[in-house]
Amino acid sequence: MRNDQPSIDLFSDGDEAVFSRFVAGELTDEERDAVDLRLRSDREFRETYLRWSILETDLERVMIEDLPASLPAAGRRNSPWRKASAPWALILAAVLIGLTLRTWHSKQAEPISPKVNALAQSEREQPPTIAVVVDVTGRGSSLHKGQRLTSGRISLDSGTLLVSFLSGARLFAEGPAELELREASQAELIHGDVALQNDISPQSFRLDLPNASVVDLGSEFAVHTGPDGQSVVRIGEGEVSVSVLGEDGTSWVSEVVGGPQNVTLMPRDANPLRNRNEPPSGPEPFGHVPPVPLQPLTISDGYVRAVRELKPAIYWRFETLDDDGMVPDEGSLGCRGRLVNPGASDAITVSAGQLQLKRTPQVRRLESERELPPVGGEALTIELWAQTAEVGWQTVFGLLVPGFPGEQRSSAVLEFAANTGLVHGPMAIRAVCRTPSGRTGGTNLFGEDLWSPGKWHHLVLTRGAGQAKLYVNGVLVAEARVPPAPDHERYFAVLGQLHAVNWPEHPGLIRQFVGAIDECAIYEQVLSAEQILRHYQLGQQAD
Amino acid sequence: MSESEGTAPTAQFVENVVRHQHDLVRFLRALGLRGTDIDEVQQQTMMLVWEKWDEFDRSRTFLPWLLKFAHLEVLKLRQKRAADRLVFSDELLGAIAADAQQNVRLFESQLEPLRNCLKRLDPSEYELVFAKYAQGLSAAELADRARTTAKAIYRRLDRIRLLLTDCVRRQLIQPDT
Repeated sequence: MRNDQPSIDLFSDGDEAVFSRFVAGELTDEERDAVDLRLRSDREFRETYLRWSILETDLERVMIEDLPASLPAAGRRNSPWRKASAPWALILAAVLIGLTLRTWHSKQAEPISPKVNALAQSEREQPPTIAVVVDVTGRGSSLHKGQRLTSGRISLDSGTLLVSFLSGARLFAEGPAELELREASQAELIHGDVALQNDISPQSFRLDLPNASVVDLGSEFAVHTGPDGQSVVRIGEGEVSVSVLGEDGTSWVSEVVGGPQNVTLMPRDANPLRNRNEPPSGPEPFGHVPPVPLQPLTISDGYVRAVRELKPAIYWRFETLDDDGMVPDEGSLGCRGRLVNPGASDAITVSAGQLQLKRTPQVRRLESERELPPVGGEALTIELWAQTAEVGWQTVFGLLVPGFPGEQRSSAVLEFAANTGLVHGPMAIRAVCRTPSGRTGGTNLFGEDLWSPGKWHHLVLTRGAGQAKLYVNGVLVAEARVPPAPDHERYFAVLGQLHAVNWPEHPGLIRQFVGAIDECAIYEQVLSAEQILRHYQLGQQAD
Repeated sequence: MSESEGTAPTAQFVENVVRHQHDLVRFLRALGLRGTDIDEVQQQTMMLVWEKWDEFDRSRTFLPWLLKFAHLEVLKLRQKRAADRLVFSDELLGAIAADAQQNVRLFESQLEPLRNCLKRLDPSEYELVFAKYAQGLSAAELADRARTTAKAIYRRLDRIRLLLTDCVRRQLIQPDT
């Protein structure tokens, strides 16, 4: 059945032109309405469109899967996971997580869960955490490592204090000093010496001084504020915006200052901002935020025996590298780990019995040397120890379906979650399961407020019998029902970074894990709560 | 459904989903979805189909039933995007979805014959297909590269499509050797 066609020339351009431009939204309103009308009224034309669309989908899949080796890192043609003859059956894959609640996608039609209410209630009743104590030295301090900090005053009589804000900025103070923490990206130095580094957060950090303010623009700087209200700012790297405030509290005189340079702030002076490249005559502000001290992980022989007794498919211990520079696999698959580090820097190394990762603009991660065969049908457990040096959104582990760089689909991801843009408590451990594998969506499972930089955490994900469970330090923290997902697709495991490309304009997509990982095991079975707790306890014991 | 009761149904569910996963992508693209929207709707459809699995009449074909739920999820997504300018009218979406569910034979085309037929294109034709689908170049970009017009590019793609469609049909009758 054909309706009268509108008098436009579009259809004479051919089906490809019509359909391509239609679905891309490139037609004018009149043209779009004309195509819409014809598709609705002309069944034959509609079938032509369907065939066009199906072929379009198939061509995209085939052409992307069969990329030649000449394309950069597209999946080497000889790579075992680029089998041109393998059927493209979407992985239902390792479904490892879920919520104890319904997913936040389906929450629209369902009553708000008690846990969501509890989270919101908690946030209303208690001041929000804005920072965490990473390290503290000196006697008599009431602060301790891992302590959550809310807004308020901190007095440091002596010793040192290293704090990570939830924004990602790190502040180092040396006593005697007095500080007022305001927000995750704002604090005030009342007097004393501090250094601040903010090179990983897209948010600026504002440090208020007496009648002055320093706003970092991606930098490291140090400040000394004396009892007379004068401050000296030393900019090490990057730039800061320095302001002397007027009587109304707004910037009276301001300047963007790049490092390395010193600036003296004299709010009561006619010339309140003085740039000086020579060291100031007064006390020298120290310039550097020390790195987060990472702790060693001493794994007992009992732990190793317990893991081996369960016959893991993969067991990467990171004790050493083999002659090929790969991480040996002590599991049944014999699948080694390859250090991917095109920059050939020390951004990823195996040392001190751990996989150590530093922040770098380049891609660096550990990958299984080949794709993993369907692992254990529906039953799967992933276990590892991780210690991070930063507060931020960091991917520890991923199960990926190979694809074009940046197009790799994940079926399971395990992360330290902060500043994610999702709704969860501070310092959460996040696992996400995608069925089928994908780049977005899926079911999230969060363990709330569980981690601190500079501490080891035992992380375990299990999937089986339609359930996914997340354990942290031997304790079940979240679980959910998930669709059954035996593996029919071959995938590979990654540690330390999820995506194989870095997008500078989307730093949140990179999610580099910075810190150390150890004792990574993948089992073709679901470990019980008792077994997991036993592993955690054995991991705490020294021989 | 406990695992001991559901072993056979679970395996059936998985088998059906795996077999028709690419058909689901084809369907969602036919309804105008792209990129992350496809991922999102796939996830939601899977969960919904699993929840409703007990209601599925095993004597019937799975794909139309799967597509029905996918259609519902697409409608939910459109509701969330109510503020966006939608390309497909609601009526058109419904018509395409109905056609797809009634004509699942359209989804019977397989990828392996298509791969074989792509190898038979001449180099310039293959390069055009590669540039469009693997490198994601638009018609305008392709035209610029070939120093021609977008209209000419569309016509070349139409011709290539006809070649591939004919070739695939012949493949299905007589496999390549």
